[in-house]
Amino acid sequence: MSLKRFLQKRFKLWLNRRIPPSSHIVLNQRRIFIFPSRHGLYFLLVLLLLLIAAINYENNLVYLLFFLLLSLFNTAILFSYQNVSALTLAAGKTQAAFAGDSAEFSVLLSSLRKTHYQLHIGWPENPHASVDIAPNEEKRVKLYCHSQQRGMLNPGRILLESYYPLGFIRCWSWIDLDMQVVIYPKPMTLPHLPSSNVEGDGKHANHRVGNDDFHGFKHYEAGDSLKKVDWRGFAKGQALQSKVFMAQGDERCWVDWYAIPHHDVEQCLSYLCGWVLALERLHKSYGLRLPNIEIKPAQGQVHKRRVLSVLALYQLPKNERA
Amino acid sequence: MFAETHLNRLSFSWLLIAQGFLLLPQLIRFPALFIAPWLLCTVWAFAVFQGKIRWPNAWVKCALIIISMTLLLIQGLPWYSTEVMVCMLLLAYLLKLLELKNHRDSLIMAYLSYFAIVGQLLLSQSLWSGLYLFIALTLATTFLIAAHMGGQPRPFLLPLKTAMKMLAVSLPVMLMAFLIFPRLEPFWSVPMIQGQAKTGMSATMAPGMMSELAQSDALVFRARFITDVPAMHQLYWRALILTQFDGRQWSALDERKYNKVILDDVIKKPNAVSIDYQLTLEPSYKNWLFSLGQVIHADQPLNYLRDATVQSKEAIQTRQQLNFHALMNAGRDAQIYRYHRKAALQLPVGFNVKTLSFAKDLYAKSDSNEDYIERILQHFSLQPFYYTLSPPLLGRNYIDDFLFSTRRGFCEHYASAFVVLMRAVGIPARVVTGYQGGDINPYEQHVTVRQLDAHAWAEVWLPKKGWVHQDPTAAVAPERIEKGSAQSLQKEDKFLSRSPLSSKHFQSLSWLLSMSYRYDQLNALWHRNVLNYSGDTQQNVLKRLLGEVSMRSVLIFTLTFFMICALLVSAFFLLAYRPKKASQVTLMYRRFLRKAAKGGLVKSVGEGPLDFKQRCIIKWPHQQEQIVLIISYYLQLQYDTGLDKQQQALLFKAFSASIKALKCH
Repeated sequence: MSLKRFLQKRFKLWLNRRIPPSSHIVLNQRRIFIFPSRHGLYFLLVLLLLLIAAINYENNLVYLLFFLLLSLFNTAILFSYQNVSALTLAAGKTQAAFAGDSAEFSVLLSSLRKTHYQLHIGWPENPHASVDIAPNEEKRVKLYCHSQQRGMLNPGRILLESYYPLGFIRCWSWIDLDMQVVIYPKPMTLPHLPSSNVEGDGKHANHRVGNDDFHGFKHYEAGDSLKKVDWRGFAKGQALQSKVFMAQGDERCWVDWYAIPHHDVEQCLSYLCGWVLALERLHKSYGLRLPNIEIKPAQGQVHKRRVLSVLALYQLPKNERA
Repeated sequence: MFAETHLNRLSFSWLLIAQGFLLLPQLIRFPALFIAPWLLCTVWAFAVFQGKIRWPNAWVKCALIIISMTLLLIQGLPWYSTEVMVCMLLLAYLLKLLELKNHRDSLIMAYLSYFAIVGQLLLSQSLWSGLYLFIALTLATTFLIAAHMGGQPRPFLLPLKTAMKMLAVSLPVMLMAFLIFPRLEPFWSVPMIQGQAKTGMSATMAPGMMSELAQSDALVFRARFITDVPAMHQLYWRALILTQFDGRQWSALDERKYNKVILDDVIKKPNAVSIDYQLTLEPSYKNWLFSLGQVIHADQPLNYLRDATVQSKEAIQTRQQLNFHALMNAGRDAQIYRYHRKAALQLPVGFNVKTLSFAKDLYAKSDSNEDYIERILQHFSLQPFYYTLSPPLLGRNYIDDFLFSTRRGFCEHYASAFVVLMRAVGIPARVVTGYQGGDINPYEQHVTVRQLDAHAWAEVWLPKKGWVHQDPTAAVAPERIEKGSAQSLQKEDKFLSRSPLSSKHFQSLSWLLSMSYRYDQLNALWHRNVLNYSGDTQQNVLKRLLGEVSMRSVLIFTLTFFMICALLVSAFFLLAYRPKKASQVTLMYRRFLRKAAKGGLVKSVGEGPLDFKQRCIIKWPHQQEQIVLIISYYLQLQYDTGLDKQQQALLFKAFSASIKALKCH
C-alpha cells in the first residue's frame, strides 16, 4: 500500500515537471500519452490467432490480412494522436459550493483547424463529459467536482481521454489548469436568527448607507463595488462615479461566533453559514464577528460571498487544500 | 428510443451493410443455411433498435444456436472440413447480431467480422475474392469507427471516408511487412478437406472419364517457362502411366519410388533439349504431378518413378509451386526389365477377340514393328473414325465395338485401342494420361492448363529406341494436338457444358480472346506474386531489390523504410497543425497587455477586452481616454470586416501609437 502511494507521489511529481499547472494548455506530443486500451490488447490477441492461421494454412492472403490489420492498429495510433493533438484547454469560470455539494468548473476547449471526436473529460472519480469540437470552435464544458470539506478546493488534474477511432488505442493527458474554488462550510440551521441590535444614535438610523434605495452619486474611490459604478454616465463621457444607496430602517445583525453555544469550530462555522444564508434571504444587513476578524454589516451578493469566504477559510493555513 | 443498446444509428446501419456484404457469397452458395438466420437476426436487431421488442433471452438464443447447427448438419457437408468450420463461424457472426448490448459486444462483432474474412479466405483465394474481401474489410472497419463516434448525428459517409483513409495509410506498411516477414513452417498440419468433390484426373482410366473432364474449364496448373515455350504439339504433360488392363479399366502398376531420378538408361538423342519451367499447381488432393519431358531436377524432394513420372511426397492440398529442370525428347530404357515387359504385354483373357485377330493379320503383313505402328495409325486416319466428346455407349468388349462398329471415340478410346493392338502382337505398350496443350499466353512465357485439356495417349517400347511416344488421337484429329481442345471441340454440345460462361466459347472473337489473355496474365501474376510468395520467391524478390540477402541488408532496408514513414508522419503533423501565426494586431494587443501587467494589472483567462478595459480605467483613471481608445481600435481592427486596406492601415497606426503613448504607473 505504501509502495503504491509512493509511486503515485512520484508520478504526481513527474507530471508536475512534465505538464506544469497552467491556466492555458495546448496538447502536444509532450503532453499526450498513448497506449493500447484493454480492447486493443484483445485485438492484438486476435491478430496473433490470425498469424497462427496464416502460418498453419500457409495462406498468403491471411498473411496479408494480418499485416493489414497490424498496420491498421499502428495507423490507429497516429489517428488517435491526430484527434487529440493541437487541442487547447483553458480554465474558465468556477462556481463556489457548500461542503458536500459539487463545485462547478468550466473548461474552455478550442480547436484550431480540425474536428476532435469523442473527447472524454473529467476527474477520474467524477462523471465524465464527452464532447466533439468542430474546427475553430470554442466549447465550454462544465465539470463538477464533489467537495467534502470547507476551504480552497483544488480538484487535481483533469483526465482528458479519447478512444477514437477504433477503440484499440487510448490517448490521454493529465491536465492541471490551476483551477481552485472556495468551498463554504456546510450550512446548518439553528432555530433562531441572531437578534438585530440597534447601535449608535437615532440621527443616522434612517440614513445608513445600504443597498436598498438609490440615493445619489459620489466620486469613485478605489474599493467601491464595480456594480455600483455609473457606467452609463461614464460612457457618455462623465467622470467615474459610484451610485450611493441607502438602507431602509436599521436592521443590522451580527453573525457572531460567540452567540453560538458550541465549541466545535466546524459546527460553529456551519451554524454561522446557515445564519448568513437566512439573513441574506430576508434582505437584512449583517456583519460577521469571528475571533480576531470583524466584517462590517452590509448586504448583497458580494457581501455574502465575502462573508462566506471568510468562514470557509477561517483558521486554515494558506495553502491547505480541501 | 435506443433503450437496450448503446450502439448508435450510424454504426448499426454500417454493421448491417458490412455483414450483408460479407455474407453475400455464402448466402448465394448455401441459401438454405444462411438466408433464414440472416433475415431473422437482422429483423430482430432492427426491431430492438426501433424500441419495439427486447433482445432475446438465453433460452431463445440457445434454441437459435441449436436450430442453425441442425441446418448446418443437414447441408450434407463433410464433417470436419474447412467449409463446415467457416460456416459455423459465419453463423456465430450472424447470431451475435442478437446480442449488441454494450460497447464490448460491438468490438466482439468487429473481431468476428475479421475472423469471418479469414474463413472466407481459406475457402477461396482468387483475385476477385481477394478484392471482394478487401471491401468487406473496409466496411467492417467502417462499422468499428462508427461505433466510436458517439451518438451525435453525423454524415453517413464520414466513417467510411475515415476507414478508407486509415486503410490507405496502412497499406505501405502492410506491403513492407508482407515482403520481408519470414515465412515459417506450419506448427501443426491442418486438415484441408474440401466439401465438394472436385473434378480432376483420376488414378484409373475407363471409357467416358476423359470426356467428363473436357466439360470443365477449371484450372489445373499454370506453367511458366524460363526457357522457350515448346510448340503446342510438344506439350504433353504426363501425369500417370497406366499399364494394367482388366478389359474395361486401366490402372497403374505398383512401382517403387526413388528419391532422385534414375538415369542409368537414357538414350542420347540428337534433338534432345533441356528446359526449365515453373509449375503452379492448384490443389488436386492427389500425389501425382504433371511434367513435361524427363524431370532431372526439382527444387523440392519428390518421388521419381521408373516410368519417368514424378509424384509429390504428400497430396497437394494447397496451391503449390515447383521448379523443374527437364529433358525433352530423350529416350528411356534401352533395356526393359522382365517385370515391366510382362506387365506391358498383359491382356485380359477372353476379351476383344476380334481386335486380337485383326492385329495379328495386320502384323503378318508388316515388315517391322515400326511399319506395323504406321499401318495402325493409317488405319485410324483412313477409315471413317471420328473424334467426339459424346461417343456411343460400348459393351463388354468395348475395343471390338469401338474399332469395328461405332468408330466414334474420345482420346481414351483411341489410346486403349492402340495399346491393345500393340500388345496383341507382342509390342510392349502402355497408356499415358495427363494434359495436352493448354493456353499459351502471348504476353508471358506461360501456359495455362485446364481440365478440358485432359488427354490420353500411348507409349510403346521398341528395341534400341526405348519407350516411344505415340498419339493415335493425332492420327484421327490432328487439329486437337495442333490447336488444342478448345478449337477442335467447340462445335460439340457437351464441350464445356459445365462452364457455360467460359470465355472458351467465344474463341472466334479476337478482342475477347486478347482480353481473356490479359485477364489470364493478371491471374497468373496474382498467383505467382501474391498467393505463392514464400520461401524461394521471397529470396528472389529480396535479391532483386537489395542485391544480396543478408540479415544486415534486410535490416537496413526495413529501418530505412520505417524512418521514411516516420519522417513523413512527423512532417505531416508539424506542417498541418502548426499554430496560426499571430496577426500584427494581436501582437500589438499583447504588447498592451504586457504594459498593463508591468503596471500591476494582469488580464485573467477568459476576460474579454471590455471587462479588462473597465478594470484598467479603475486602476488608472487619468489614462481613461487612452485606454478607451486602445480597446475600441482593437475591437474594430479585430472584428470589423467592413474596413478596406487603407482604413485598416490608418487604424493600425493610431492603435500602435496610442499603445506606445500609454503610461501605466
